[in-house]
Formats: sequence, structure tokens, C-alpha cells
Amino acid sequence: MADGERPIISFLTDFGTDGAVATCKGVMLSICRDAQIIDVAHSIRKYAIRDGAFLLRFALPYIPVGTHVGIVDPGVGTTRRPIGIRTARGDVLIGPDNGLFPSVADALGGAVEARELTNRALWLPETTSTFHGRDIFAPVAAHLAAGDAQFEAVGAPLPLDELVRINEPEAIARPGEIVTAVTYVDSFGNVRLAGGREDLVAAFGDPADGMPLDVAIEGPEGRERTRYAATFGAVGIGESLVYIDSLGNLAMADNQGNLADRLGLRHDRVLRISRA
Amino acid sequence: MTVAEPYLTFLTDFGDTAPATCRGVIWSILPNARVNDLTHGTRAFGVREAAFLLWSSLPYQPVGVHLAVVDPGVGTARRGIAIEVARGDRLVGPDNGLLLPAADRLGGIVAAHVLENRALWRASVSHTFHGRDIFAPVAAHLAGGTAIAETGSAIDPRELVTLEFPEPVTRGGALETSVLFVDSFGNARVAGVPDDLASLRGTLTPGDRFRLDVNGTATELPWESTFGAVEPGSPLIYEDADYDGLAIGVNLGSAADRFGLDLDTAVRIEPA
Repeated sequence: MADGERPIISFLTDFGTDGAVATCKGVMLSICRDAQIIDVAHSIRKYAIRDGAFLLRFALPYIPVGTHVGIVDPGVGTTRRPIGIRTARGDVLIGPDNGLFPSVADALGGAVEARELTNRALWLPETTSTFHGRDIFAPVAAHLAAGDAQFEAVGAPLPLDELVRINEPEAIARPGEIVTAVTYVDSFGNVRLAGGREDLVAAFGDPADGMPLDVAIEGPEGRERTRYAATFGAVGIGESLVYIDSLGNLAMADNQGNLADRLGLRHDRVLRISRA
Repeated sequence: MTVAEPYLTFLTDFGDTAPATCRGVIWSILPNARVNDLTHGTRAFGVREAAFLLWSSLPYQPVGVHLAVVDPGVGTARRGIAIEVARGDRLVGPDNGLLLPAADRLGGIVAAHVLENRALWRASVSHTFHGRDIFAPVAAHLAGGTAIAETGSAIDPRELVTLEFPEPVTRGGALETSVLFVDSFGNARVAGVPDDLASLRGTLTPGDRFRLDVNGTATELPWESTFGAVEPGSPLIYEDADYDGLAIGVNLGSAADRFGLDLDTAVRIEPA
């Protein structure tokens, strides 16, 4: 960190906005008063680890190298481990070992080293079983950001292949068809799908704006006539489109509408996209 | 590195936009202020819930100026006050009891002043937005170095308005209590401490079973240290991290939805 620069701490939780987040920030700022804290999100669905991972992958590559606290932690206080992961880019990820981080580390150049947070000297003096965000994750992150502790000090090394991972659905592309599944629904009701541009090209060749597509939704059954377009405004208001999102993910949306609500789409619903 | 900027926390029941106006007032007076928004989403006019949040969060904040406005009496005869506590913080807000539980937890009141010095207010003061016109500018001036005595005349802290919080009662082998606060997960804090439950059965150990009576329905649930100790969807009683008191939760679910728990809902807990 250059002299005079503020250490970056980014912060994502499913805590909502009723005070728990601010309490954690108070702990961070008590230890690292100069920290620049970037709130990634605190309103994600409760306990939705995959949503947290998606948003961290979405945001962290655009946030300066720093200490990133991610807490979607349904197992707080159980045997699930509190961990830190150092990435190739130089970031440190701090949070629970429940699958939230491995894909995020990949988006930051890959995990270089992982440690279990075992050094109580970096925690608050008193810890509870139900608020590790305040008692463990916030203070450890702030000590690292302040530079008064090095990553090696957070605790014992943990082999990278022992980190808990979450299986995300994968797309299967063959000529004329992509079988995919919903991986994330954003606040507009836009739906992210497994797979990306390469799958679209493998199925349909280089897609032309307006290419008509047929989407079959599995269990419960549904069907949507749509088309490929580069952006929302390329179709009429209320009409749907298949597009590639800003991260390269296959995605589907209604222009100025909520496609997820209209079609009842939630995580893991399987979609078959074919040429109409 | 740089000298730490003046630190403020900010809590209201205003929702989204009005707090930004108040932050604008603060930064106009004190451009290098650091403002940590505790929340602006507390229930409108919910003075006791906001007092609970201040009480639970301020001990974890750096020493600073804490601005809190949940003020159903804005523009009436209710006073605006500034309080200094033993830890060194200053608290600014309406004299309706909002600030006092937190002040106690920060070491107790050292000085209390009525906000009277209009030189520290916005030039034009409305009847309905003292957050913007009085409390925010006074808080900014205090954070910028103005002495608390300049805010107005000193008053005896015993003259400040206090809130009545429900007291738990142990009667007939049961703890009779009520809900103090429901968090965004639907976990419900109730008045009382683990010792109250221990007194009902002599000891209190994870796995001990209790009967919860609420809204005419009885449910059996265990005392546990954390949510994941019970099956997904199952309820538990646990010691809450915010206040060392009792809380009712559901693992990966909402106790508030499951049992119809809201502020002041009566709850009866007895050994099963």
C-alpha cells in the first residue's frame, strides 16, 4: 500500500440493514481507523451462500486489492471453520469455510494459501456463538488491513483442497441447443444461467441480434418464445431476451420487467434453449 | 498515516433519502467527518427498538459522536439534548429516552445539556425535520471540536425522559416475558437472561428442553448455543450475541414468522 492510501476492506453479508453491519464496521474502524470500507451487499437472500459467491465474483475484480469480508454463514458457531484465503492478486478473503470463497478466489487469480482463523489474539476478547461477523471476522480483517498482523498470523495453514466447495450447475451446449440452469436472480428479476458466450456460439454459431430462440423450462413446465439481443432496450418493453451479461454469463431478462417473477424462475430451474 | 477524522454514527427511522440530506448538513460543517450509518430502517416511531439497537451497537463503535433521531415528538415541547458519557462519546438526539440505555452502557452520563444555542443550528429551523436543522448540525459541531457546554444549559441527568422496558417475571415455574426486538432474520430477543431459565430447572445445559407458549400455541424447543445445533426449520432458545439475553430463533428460518413474534408479543417459557 502506498503511503497515505487507505486500506480497502470490502464487506458482504446477508445481515440486512438493522444494525449488525454497522456494529461490524465499528469493530473494523476501532482497529483500522483509516479503512475505506466498501459495502458490496447486505441485502442478499438469507443463508444464500451461492448468491453471496456470485456477488463477490461480480464485484471484487473491480475493487482494489484489499481485505474482503464475506459472511453468509448459516453454520455460525458450529464446527464449520472460520478461514482466510490469500489470492494471487494479493487480496485476503475472510469468512466462513462453507463454499462462499473458492470460486471468488478463482476470479482473483486463484487461491494461493488458506488458513483457519485460530489466533484468538486477533479476535475480540469475548466471542459469542452467533455473531462471528462482529467477534472474529471483522477484527481479523481489520488487523490485516491495518498491517499490524500478517496473513501468516491468522492461524494454522489449511490445505487448499480441504476447503468446502459448492457445486454450481454447468451448461451443456450442442449444436442447436443449450441445457442450462438458473444460477442467480438479481434485484431486477434478471436471471443468470450456467454457461457463457462460448456455449451460445457452440450451440448457435455467432449469435445475431434478434435471433429467435425457444426456451423450455423444466419442472413445472413452461415455455418462452424469445430472442437473443445484446441489451435490454433492443427488445420492446415487457419482452424477453437472452443476452450475455457484463461478466460473460449467459442470462435472460425482460426489458423493464421482472422475468423471474413472470416465469416463476428460481435457482437451479433447468432451461433448454433452442433455435425457434 | 493521516490523523483520524472525526467519527460519527447515525441512526434514524427515516428510511432512504432524508438521512442523505442530514449527512449533507454534517459534511457541509465538517467535510472530513466519517459517518457510519447504524441503520435508517428501524420501525417508524419505534423509540424502544432504536434504543435497543444503540445499546447493542455503540459499545463496538470507536469513541465519537452518536446522532440518533427517532422522534415522534418532533416540533413539540420535547427537548433536544446532547449527552456526554464516561467513555468520552457524545450522544445527540431527542429527549425521549432513546439515548439513555446506550449512555448507561458506555459508562454512564457525565454531562447533559439541552440544545438551545441556535448558533449551532441551521439558520432556518422547520417544525418537522429537526434531524436536518438541529441534531445533525449540533452533532457535526461537537465532532469538530465544539465543547458540549456550548450546546445549551446543563440539566440534571435525572430529569431526562426515560423509557419503560418490559421486565421478565418468573411465576408458577415459568418465565413470563415479551419480545424486545426482532432482527432481519426473524430472530426475537426477549427480556430476560439465561440465569432466569437456569433458575427454573437448577442448571442450564445445551439440549435442555423447554415449552414455549406464544399466541395460544405451545411448542417444545431446546436451549442451544447456536442455530446449526438444531435441524433446519427447527426452533431453539439461545443466548443472544447482542445483549447476553434470551433469544428465540429457527435454524435457517424465521422465528418471527413461525410463531407470530413482534415487538411486545407475550412469551411464556417453562421447562418441558
